[in-house]
Amino acid sequence: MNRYDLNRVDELVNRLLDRDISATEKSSIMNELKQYPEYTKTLADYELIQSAVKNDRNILMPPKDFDKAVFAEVDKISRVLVPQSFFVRNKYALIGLLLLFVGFTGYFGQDLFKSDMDKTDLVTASKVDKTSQSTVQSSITSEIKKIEVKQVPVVSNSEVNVNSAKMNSSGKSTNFAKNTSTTKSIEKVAKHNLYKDTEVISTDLTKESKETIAHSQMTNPSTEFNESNKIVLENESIIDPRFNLVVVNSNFDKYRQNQITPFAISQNKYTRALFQNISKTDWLIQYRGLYAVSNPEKGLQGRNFYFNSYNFGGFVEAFDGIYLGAEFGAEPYSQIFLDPNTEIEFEQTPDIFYFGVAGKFELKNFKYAGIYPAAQLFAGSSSLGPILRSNLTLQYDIINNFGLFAGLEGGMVFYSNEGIWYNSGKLGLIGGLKIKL
Amino acid sequence: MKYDYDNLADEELFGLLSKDREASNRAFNELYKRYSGKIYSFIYRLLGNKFFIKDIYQDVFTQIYRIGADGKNKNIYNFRSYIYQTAKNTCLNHFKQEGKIEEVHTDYMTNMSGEVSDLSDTIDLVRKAVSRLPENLKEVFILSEYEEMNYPAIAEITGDTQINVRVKIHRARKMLKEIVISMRQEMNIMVENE
Repeated sequence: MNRYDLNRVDELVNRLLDRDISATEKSSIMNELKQYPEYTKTLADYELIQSAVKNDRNILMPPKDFDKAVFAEVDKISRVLVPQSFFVRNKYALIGLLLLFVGFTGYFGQDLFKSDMDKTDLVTASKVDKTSQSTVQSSITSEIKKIEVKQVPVVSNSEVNVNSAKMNSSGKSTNFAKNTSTTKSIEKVAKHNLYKDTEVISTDLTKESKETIAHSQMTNPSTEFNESNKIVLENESIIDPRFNLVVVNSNFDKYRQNQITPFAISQNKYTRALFQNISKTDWLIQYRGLYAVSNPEKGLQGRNFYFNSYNFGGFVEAFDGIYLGAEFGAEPYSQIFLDPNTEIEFEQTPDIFYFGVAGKFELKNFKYAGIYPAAQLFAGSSSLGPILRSNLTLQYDIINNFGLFAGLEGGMVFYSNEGIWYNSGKLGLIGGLKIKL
Repeated sequence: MKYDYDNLADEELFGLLSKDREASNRAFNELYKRYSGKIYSFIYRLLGNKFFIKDIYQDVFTQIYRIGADGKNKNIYNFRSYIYQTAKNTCLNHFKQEGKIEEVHTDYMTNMSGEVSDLSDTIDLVRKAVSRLPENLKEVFILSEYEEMNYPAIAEITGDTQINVRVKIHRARKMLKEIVISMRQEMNIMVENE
């Protein structure tokens, strides 16, 4: 064949090998090729090559380090090019702060804005009742015992008025001897002279006596004044129950000096807890940030330590040193999973949000230099799957019930992909602050 | 908003790259799953050298993600052509930087027993022959024969006309045949001399 024929055969054979050839065109080409008997060898050579290519069309898979390199680079780019606004990025933290604020306001606001609260009161009776270990309670209790009234029969008003009339104009008793014995005498304060709400109705009193009584006002809330005005009855079995009642529910407590420093503002749980030495550990609120030292890599963690891996917790003291409560937070966890269809291993580090129940155990028995250990366990749910966390910390109370803590935390999140379960562990250094209320 | 990433088209997944981070990561994962093998095979067959394949491979996907995450170029109607075009351009840029790539001289002569007639040896021969093709012919041949793309798609990737693509493929086949025949003749001569 000449060169023209060879080229023509080549052209026809190549057209045969094209995939977009129609049946009629193929038939036409075959008819033309029959004019060149040597076309069969040319066609055989091309078909051999085509067969080799067809059998070599398998997809070559990249090595695993190729995948990791790609995802690591893409993750870096995503943090720059796919930024989230401050509110989107920290939406869960802001929601948590908002809930805490609402909780604080609702819980403590009811005490702050009560209209019937006497803001000059140093101690309110209802709050004193709840204080279990305060010195106020113990001192009041002991004082109440001292003034506890024995059961005595009722006497008439005239009898009382006679006793009252014996008081001199200065308000001090002259006819009554001071009785310092608590076992034999009933110690009382000058009743109707001290209590304005107690009205003495008697026609037996002289005008002078009435003026004395009316003039006598309780102005000095000192114990000495009360002591000097104790009424010691010769006949201790005769007493009007009204005075018993008045004594028991007297303003003795009100005017009695106590060991609490008086405040001009109202006392509430928050201020008392922070500035006074009253341990009132009903609630524990804490916040912590985490710096990962293991998976995920520090380079993928982000720069903002406290907002990249944050955690808020609220606890109630169930037992001494044992707190039970709930936590929520967000932090990145490395997620590695294998695609079973393509055998490609993917890796990414999504920010997961989690919440759940937690228990905290403070070991104050091991307190040394103000520092004591604590342990915490957490179990909950995350945007990937179940999550477990635990930490060991050293706690330090700066002022009363406000403190700091730092330690080590480990966590593990479980997730599944196409029916296969994986887990991702993490170890980090934590630090945070806490408030006991 | 939840998406069914497995059933989304390539172009829809590319559009999700500019969404929030979670959707962006998941969309990229799906795209990577679909094209990682194909792009790697294409680059491997095109370059024939493993030393810098990793960098080029990484550059292709990071470039795709960067463009998608940027969100400016959302109107991609054929993602497949787009990613192959990106891979081709990345390879060409590498050629410009590195200069002409040395031909790959493989030691196919070490495994010779009798005539070279079985399929595996032919495949090996054809691979080596393909690596010896000129770059402009090699890329269209690989896209046509290995990636099984039609002429319009190849034309879009290469930026050429369909007629020119057809002509290039024909030339590539012809050159390939000649290379394979000459290599086979060389092998047969060596076998005879032994």
